[in-house]
Amino acid sequence: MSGYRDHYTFGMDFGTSDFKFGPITCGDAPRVLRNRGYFPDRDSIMMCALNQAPEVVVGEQVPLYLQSSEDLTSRLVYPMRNGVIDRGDSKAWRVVNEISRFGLKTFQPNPGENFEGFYVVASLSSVSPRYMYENLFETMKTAAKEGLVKAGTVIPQPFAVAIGHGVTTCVVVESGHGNTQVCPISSYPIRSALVAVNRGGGEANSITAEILKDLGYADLAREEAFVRRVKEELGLLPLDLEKAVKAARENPSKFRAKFKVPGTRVEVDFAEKSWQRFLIGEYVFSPQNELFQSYLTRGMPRPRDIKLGDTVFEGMIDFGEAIVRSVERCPVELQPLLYKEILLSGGNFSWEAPEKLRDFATDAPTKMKVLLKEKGIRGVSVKMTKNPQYSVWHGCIIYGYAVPEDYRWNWERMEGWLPVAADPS
Amino acid sequence: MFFEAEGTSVRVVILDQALWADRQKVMDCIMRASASAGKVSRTYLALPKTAASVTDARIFQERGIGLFTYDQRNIEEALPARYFEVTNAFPHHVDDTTTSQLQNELRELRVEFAELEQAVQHLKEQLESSKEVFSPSRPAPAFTSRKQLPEVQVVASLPTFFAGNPWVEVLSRRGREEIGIVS
Repeated sequence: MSGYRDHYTFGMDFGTSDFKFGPITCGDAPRVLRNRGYFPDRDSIMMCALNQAPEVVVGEQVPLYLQSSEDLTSRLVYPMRNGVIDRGDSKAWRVVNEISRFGLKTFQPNPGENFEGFYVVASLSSVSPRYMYENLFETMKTAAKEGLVKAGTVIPQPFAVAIGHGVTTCVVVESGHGNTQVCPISSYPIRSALVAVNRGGGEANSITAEILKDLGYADLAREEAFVRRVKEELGLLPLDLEKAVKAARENPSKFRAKFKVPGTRVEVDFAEKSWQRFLIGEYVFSPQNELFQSYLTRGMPRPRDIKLGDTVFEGMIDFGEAIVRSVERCPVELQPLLYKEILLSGGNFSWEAPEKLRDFATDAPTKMKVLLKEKGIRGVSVKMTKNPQYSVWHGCIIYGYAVPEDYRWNWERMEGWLPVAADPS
Repeated sequence: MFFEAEGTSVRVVILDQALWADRQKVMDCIMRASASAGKVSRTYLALPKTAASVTDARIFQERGIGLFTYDQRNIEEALPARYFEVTNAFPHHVDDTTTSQLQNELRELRVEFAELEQAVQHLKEQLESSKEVFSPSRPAPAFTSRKQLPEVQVVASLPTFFAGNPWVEVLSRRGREEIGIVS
């Protein structure tokens, strides 16, 4: 490998909430920004008087431009909220362009250094359709005109996770806010075996909101940030839902769910209904239990089968079933090796069990083993990624450093370098 | 190779992959390992996996010599070495003060040679039979005759998540494997 990429390999992880970016010289941790952009009202008196509002603002300056809260839904854009951007969503693409350029400019070397542009590796959701890759390449070509990019490529996030974790044969289960993807890897992503589930952290938020409404906290249940906080503080993932609910009903004080927002008088207390904290985790992993029926019949949105881009997302299968279906699409000889290395990645797997409730509550790797055992799969190894926040970026950096420069982009294998100054076709 | 730390010394005698079919070289390696056993804390003989598969490890186990086996991908400890309490470790470089030690060891080696002669004869017979297996009449497949890949040099100043990551090597072969298959 040349010395050039020792300094000028650049990684970009477009997460649902955060944009992680930076060159290899960042060391172990990239820079992190909120993956969002704000479109100021350039017709407003203030902006006209200042005469300096850009079309879209990204980075640390966003709060400085925020206007009324009523404007937020239309002007504050989170482009990767569901992992996929609609082809025609011009605002979202504008944000992606601007945040990418911002990231590259942040680390642009001073004039006089022998800099010909970064080798950029961007990472997208594994369900991203071809047009997302094409648009991202266009973004890189635009940046190349400013001398920021020498060559670029795009890799799926689960592939980057496997690279960052250092395992060449594995199943990566990536679960974010909107969805969950199961992707087997064997030196290459096995794209034909990808299984996508239309459930993520957002479903845990939904059931938490319904529980809060039932308990008389309907006003608080309307604030997404508060609901997410309650989920994180009080939600539990049960080893066995029936046993956990039974124990919690028999001894509510032991399982008491109570939370006070620091610096406020706002307090939530589940009291005798503390058994419901187990529903929050279970709904994400396995939503088919009849305990959830009452919420669904009363209007809580049911996770449906949907099509996003080229991929069908199944709504109601449990995560164990999703893994089994994905692995069984792979060659039989490979299947035992895949079950031996199941990696969980994404904020939706950050479940913890309080010490005194360890008999009933558990973490994500243990729950996944339970679900697989119910399907007859034993002897599996399930782990969280070593560094869940940065593993995708780590994978981008390693990929950008190691892949030979002359390995050209190919639309069939969906890998390789695109020399952005040239015509890709 | 010789390693020493915190009062423990390890000697590793390596049989080069290219020389494993050369009886003279094999005997030389075994003799050097045998001479080292008991003089350092642990002694290992490192054999290519192709040679190890026809090796009777009991001979080495009886003498406390450990076995490493290696190929292009990894190295494994096939047989742990026995630990010997030693007060003066065998030095990894020779100087004037250790010349007399070497002379003493040479005398001891001559005595041990007689004991090892039977074991070497056994190995010779095994090597003869393995040559027939591993020297096929038809040419070796293209996979084993492909051009040697450039060694992946990992710069010391890289982030820590590069350390021990097998993907660095796997990814460095992107495109090269396809060329090897075609050729």
